[in-house]
Amino acid sequence: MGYSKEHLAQLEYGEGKVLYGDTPLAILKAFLQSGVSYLGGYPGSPTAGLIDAISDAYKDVLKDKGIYFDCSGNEASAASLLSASISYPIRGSVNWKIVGTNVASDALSHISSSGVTGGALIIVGEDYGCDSTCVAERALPFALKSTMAVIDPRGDLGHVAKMVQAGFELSECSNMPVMFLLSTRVAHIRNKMVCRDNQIPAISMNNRLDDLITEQETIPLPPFTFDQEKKKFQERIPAAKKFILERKLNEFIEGTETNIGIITHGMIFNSLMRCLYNLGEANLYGETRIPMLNLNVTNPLVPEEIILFMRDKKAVLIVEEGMPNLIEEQIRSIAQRAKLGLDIFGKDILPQAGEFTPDHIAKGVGTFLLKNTVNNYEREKIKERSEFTEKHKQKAAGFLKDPVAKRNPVFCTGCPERPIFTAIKILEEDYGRSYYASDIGCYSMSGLPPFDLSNSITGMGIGLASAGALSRMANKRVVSFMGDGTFWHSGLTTSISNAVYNNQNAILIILENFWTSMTGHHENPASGKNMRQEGVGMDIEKALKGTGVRWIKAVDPYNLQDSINVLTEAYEEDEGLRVIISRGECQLEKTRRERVVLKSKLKSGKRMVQKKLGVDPDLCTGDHSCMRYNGCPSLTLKESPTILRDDPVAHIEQSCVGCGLCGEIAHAAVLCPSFYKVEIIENPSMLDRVGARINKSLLHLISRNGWSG
Amino acid sequence: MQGKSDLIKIFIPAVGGQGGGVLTEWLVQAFFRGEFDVQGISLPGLSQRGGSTVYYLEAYPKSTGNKEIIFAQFPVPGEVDIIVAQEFLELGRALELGYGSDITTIVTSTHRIYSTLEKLPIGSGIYSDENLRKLARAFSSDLIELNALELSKANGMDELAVNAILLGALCASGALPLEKKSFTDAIEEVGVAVKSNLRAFEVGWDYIDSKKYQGQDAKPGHPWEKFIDERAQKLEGNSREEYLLRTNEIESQYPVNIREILAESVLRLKEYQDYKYADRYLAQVYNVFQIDERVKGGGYKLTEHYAKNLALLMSYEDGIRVAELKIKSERFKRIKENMRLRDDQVFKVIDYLKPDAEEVYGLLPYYLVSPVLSFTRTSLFKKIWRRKRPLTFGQTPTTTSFSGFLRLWLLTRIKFMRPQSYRYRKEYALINKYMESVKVYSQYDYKLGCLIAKSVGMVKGYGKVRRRTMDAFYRFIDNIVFPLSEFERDSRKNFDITLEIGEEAIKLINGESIDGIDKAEKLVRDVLERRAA
Repeated sequence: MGYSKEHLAQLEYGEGKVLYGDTPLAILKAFLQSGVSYLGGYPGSPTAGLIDAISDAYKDVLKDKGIYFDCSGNEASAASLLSASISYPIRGSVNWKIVGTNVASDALSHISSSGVTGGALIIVGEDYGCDSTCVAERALPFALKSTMAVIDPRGDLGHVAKMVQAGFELSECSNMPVMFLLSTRVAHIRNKMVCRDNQIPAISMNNRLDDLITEQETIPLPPFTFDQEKKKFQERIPAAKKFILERKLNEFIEGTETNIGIITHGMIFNSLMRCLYNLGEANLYGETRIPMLNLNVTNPLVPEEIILFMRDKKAVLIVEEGMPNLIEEQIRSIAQRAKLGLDIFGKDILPQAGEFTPDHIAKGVGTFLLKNTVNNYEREKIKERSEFTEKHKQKAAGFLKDPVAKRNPVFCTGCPERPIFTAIKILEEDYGRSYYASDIGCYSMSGLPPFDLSNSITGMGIGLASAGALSRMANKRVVSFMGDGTFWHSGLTTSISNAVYNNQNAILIILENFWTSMTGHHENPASGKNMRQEGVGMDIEKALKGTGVRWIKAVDPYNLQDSINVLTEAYEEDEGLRVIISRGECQLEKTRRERVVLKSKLKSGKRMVQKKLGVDPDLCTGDHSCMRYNGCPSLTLKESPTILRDDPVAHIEQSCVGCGLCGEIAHAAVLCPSFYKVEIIENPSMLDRVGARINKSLLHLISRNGWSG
Repeated sequence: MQGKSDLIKIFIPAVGGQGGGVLTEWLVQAFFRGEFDVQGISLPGLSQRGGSTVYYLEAYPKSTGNKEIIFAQFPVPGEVDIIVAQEFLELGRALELGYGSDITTIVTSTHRIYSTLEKLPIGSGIYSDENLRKLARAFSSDLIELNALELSKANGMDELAVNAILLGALCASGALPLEKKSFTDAIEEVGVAVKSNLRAFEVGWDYIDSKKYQGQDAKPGHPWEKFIDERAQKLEGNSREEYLLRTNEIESQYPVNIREILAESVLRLKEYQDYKYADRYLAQVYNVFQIDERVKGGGYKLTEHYAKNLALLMSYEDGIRVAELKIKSERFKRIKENMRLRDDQVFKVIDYLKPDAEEVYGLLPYYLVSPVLSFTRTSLFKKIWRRKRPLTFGQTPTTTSFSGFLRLWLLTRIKFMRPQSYRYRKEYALINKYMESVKVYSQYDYKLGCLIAKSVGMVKGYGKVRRRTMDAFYRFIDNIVFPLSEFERDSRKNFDITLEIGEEAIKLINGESIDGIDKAEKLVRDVLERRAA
């Protein structure tokens, strides 16, 4: 986890030195090379890695340079940070995942209306393939409505870094905040890149502004708002276009072919190039028969460039991922205005929605080529090659009658969040199903097997609020889940204040595990420290009391029976908001920390008790009820010890961390006597030894079977 | 499509949290050392959380001059040269997505990490390794299998060693144009548990290099003598004689594939009650065996199912049985082995026991219990007894302590009362129903007999689970097999429908919920209605 000292040391590299690392490290390096003064953001895929890099580098690299790092409370706080760049020549960058843009929107609208003096770069995790908990949306429409420039880099570390630096300049010369799209696959590249010298920011924590002058024109209030609106389109956009053109931010790739061409953007360029290579149309160095225009800046588009590329061509294919296909529509209108009489293909021959996987691109390009090829032999070749990937995929998918079992994500071994869902599952037998309003976090997985406890997922901190109407209009109990991360992100206001204010009849379960775990363990206000590793204690219970919640109970998730009792209380009480705080640290983080302590204790010879759970294979009859209540990765299956049983029995692997849940379940759900807990005493004391010996001899008295413990 | 080129494309399907990231990092570093340009991609997705994750690498000989290769971030199905699979099901999933082809070298571990969906069914939901193997053979030019997890255990390493073992195997396979040193240097460069990973690397390398992997699998079958000896060892003097007496008889009477089942059962039932009890079992099995003898060509399937299930039914898990198994000396030996306990460690075993009311009074004599039970059904009792939840007796005895052990030991002492107990009567109602049904239906049709003999496997679990599965079995016989077979007897010559629906019903009942029986019954109703119409 995290970035090693060696990795971070590379951030100090100067001109010409070669850095090895992943995209977040490259971007952070580019920040330093651009003389950035402040950074901020809210963790989420695929930008979480960038926050990691920043927070890991803060103490040793950023702080000395006077660079401010804001551990933003949510995306709105992050976005508002950019106002520092409105009136002052200060460069700053913030980041969040695609859906975070919605949270940030209020601030973004205002800042982009005021316009910026210093370069303001927003790294948005574009995740159109939905590799994380998000919806398939793109950032481009958002940038258009607030008039921000958009950079969409292709997949290459050096290029990404170059584009980051260009982004700051673009922002400054056009006075627009710039959105920099970081797609999931680009975000996870590991490669080398050539560095440039870092710039020390002129204004920073070390070198502060003395007086703050603000031009009234920059305040988004009438009458200035109207002028700002004018400026957007009369000054900022034109300035941006000029800069893009002069700096050649978009790439023209000459081809031997003159009649046709392809326009694309971002990482799709890499996939497209590979498809052309497989089609025999290009080599691996990107030398292609078909001319190409690769848009690294997808807003604003530069009509001159588009026209220059399309002029004298008979047909052009636009390979644009995502809907709405604004690039294509704009290009079509540019062509129409310029009266270019050429065929333009796009979403009509490429899939409209969904991630552009290689098979889709290959087929689309093939269709395009066929429309522009007459030679029959050629046509056959194109057809065969362009459909190869798709056909191969189908062949593989259809090969087995019985499709390969799916593997859905599960709560980790020893997870403190899982037991609550077990408790609810057990209670369903007496109380029936409730309406489960879930939220964004690890606990979103409660909607998956074995629990299936999710009727809706509406967004960060919104779960409870989303059930507002239903809690009065349905004859169902409303149970909502929220993490400590989402609680402090927005849940406190969006859901809890709202619930108290409306006297909502619902049960809210806050899973306080002290980390924002889903994004890869980021500190949050519950952690007791921020991402700058400065101690801060924020108390959920006090906050709840402050909003006027009366019914608050805390439970230890590993005490299943207790949780069941408290839940029962909450179920029986049929009015107002009942909040249950389930408190238990994220097991992953805990084990990571304790593994070290454990080793040292073992060495130092200190007495120490370790717990592990087990299953008696000859007592387990293999009905697997325990699995249907649990879903722990270390609780799995194995062959029955007796040849009389054909079906597998339950088995607990060495990865068990001894949380004891499976035993608790066997008790609470009255399942079976197969589970046992072993307490292993490392470095036993004299007392332990003697006790054990006496015990042993006593046991021998009764059993007389040479019992050996 | 392009077939092999200088561009090397490696796809690594993995399970979240199993160290696939480190494996990828090693490969990247190894390629750097081999004078390659290389790009690694990791798509952790919901990483730590045990879901599927994917890593992808592209490498190309260091380009001379200023031309730069354009790497792709998206693997192209059918174009992948090498798949290194950390787990067998993930390999299957990758191949199903088309990443394997006739240009692909596969280096895979054959160990399984079962997915949640495989764990949930009441029966076995484990996905067939054979299917996965079929896929792997069909979509590869070269398939290198090794159970990396077994190897790591055998060498006293933890599960994360799997990655280095696979790296070693990949290196030895010669699928990559890299020196062995490039790999070992990479491991040192990356610096994660260098020592143990280098060892693991060597294990994997040696395993492939020495061709050990060829013609592995197929575990050795126990020869009969060894099988008997293992079991006889557990018995002393007289009892051993008794046992051998019976196993000799079994040997003389039964075909090979039945013997072991019977020998195992006799031991189980002797431990459960006594030899007299075991003999009753043998007698029962012999009757059914006669049917098999007459049929011929049945491969003794009927007897096999019957012998297995009857033994399990006759050794139903009651408090006494549980207590016995909990204090068995072998149990503590097993625990010590599983937990890898050393003698200098002191350990306690705490058991989670929670019998429900029936499991407790079930031990008492029938004539004592039944009147009380019939009283509990009266309205008078319901007035007095207002408790909603069923009565249970939760306890967590420390079985390794004198008091805990004593409690369980005392319980085992009332074994002699078992045949008079309430539970015994109840279980025997089921057993008789089973024995009788098997006989009746195997008269109708041999296959049908086998179906019944097999079906009782659905009776599982403790307390309420067992009661519900028992109920499911009764309903299976009365509401599914009976009506269907009756229908077919009058209307047709064969029992195809009964067999087909019967199998389907068993699948449903062994599915993810015991309520499967409801679905099954509905299925039957529909079929019969359709036929009637």
